[in-house]
Amino acid sequence: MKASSSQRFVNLISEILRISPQDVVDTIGMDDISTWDSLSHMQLIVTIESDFGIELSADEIVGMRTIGKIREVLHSKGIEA
Amino acid sequence: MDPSGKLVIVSGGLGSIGSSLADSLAEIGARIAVLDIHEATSASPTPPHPIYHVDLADEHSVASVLEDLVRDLGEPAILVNCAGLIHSEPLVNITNPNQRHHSRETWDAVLRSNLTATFNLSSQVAERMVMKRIRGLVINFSSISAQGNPGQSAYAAAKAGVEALTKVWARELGPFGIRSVAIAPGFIATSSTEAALTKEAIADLKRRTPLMRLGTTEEIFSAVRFAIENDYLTGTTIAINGGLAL
Ligand SMILES: NC(=O)c1ccc[n+]([C@@H]2O[C@H](COP(=O)([O-])OP(=O)(O)OC[C@H]3O[C@@H](n4cnc5c(N)ncnc54)[C@H](O)[C@@H]3O)[C@@H](O)[C@H]2O)c1
Repeated sequence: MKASSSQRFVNLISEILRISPQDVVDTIGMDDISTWDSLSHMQLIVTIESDFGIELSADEIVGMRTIGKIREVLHSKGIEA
Repeated sequence: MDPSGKLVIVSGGLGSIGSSLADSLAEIGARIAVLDIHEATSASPTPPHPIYHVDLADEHSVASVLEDLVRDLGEPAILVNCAGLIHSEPLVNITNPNQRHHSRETWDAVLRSNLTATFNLSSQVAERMVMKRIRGLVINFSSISAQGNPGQSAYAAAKAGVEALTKVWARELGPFGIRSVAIAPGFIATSSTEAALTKEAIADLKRRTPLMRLGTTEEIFSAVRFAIENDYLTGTTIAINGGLAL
């Protein structure tokens, strides 16, 4: 069975930021996780774009500093995350 | 990448290699913007491309010139970092009682023109490429001297630094589709080579080069063109040196 897009989102975040899937919660942000630095942020953006087939704008990239903000942007593009 | 219609920034574009690259790139359809610290002279006449005067070692000047350039011509897709300063000076010179070791002043000047200039311009252009989602290319100019040419402490260190930056940027910017490639020419038949080396030194270099001659600016262009057109090439240095090993 194919994973739902929200499951894929959690797996992707947990893999790139090297945190457990349970820690992928909206309130967590760049300031809370040491592995979420500017380099892994770039990787996160590019992976989200290719996995979900979207292109993010510069403003969106800059604003996606918490899991909640990333989910908001994805929801605004009609993606369940 | 197909260069036609793309905006290419050529730094050091009034120099021997830079001016020839700018003309050749324009011939294959690229739009050119030249950045250089110098004014055009009779030795380097005004090219038919827009020129922006800037000391690339000064990051604030780079920021303001880039703003003008983008306003005038749009976003660059390719940056060719060709600005540089070729300089020879031994680490220790026992025959010069006034200056027995490599001058700190020339060390700084050589690092500024070759390494800091490349860093300043590339960091600001790469920022634009990332933010504007342009799958661009940065081409850096290293040199065979990066291998450790005796008599060129500052120049060799600066060019080895340029090669290191090329690898770092390939890894950092690769996920965004931005490539970074270095070209390391050997000794090219240019006025800068003539100015930096004596006739005897040039003759000796030709003898030591397996292909028995200096390279040409056309041969450098052919490497630049390859770097532009091959979309799987990144993080590497292309050596164009007639087989010469230092
Ligand atoms: N000519 C060769 O044989 C040779 C060999 C190996 C590597 N290279 C490298 O190729 C590049 C081009 O060499 P070239 O032979 O055309 O040299 P060149 O001296 O003819 O041109 C260099 C240009 O860079 C400009 N420049 C220097 N410092 C600058 C600064 N701070 N800001 C803005 N512009 C600046 C100069 O004004 C000049 O127009 C250089 O990086 C050089 O180190 C050349």
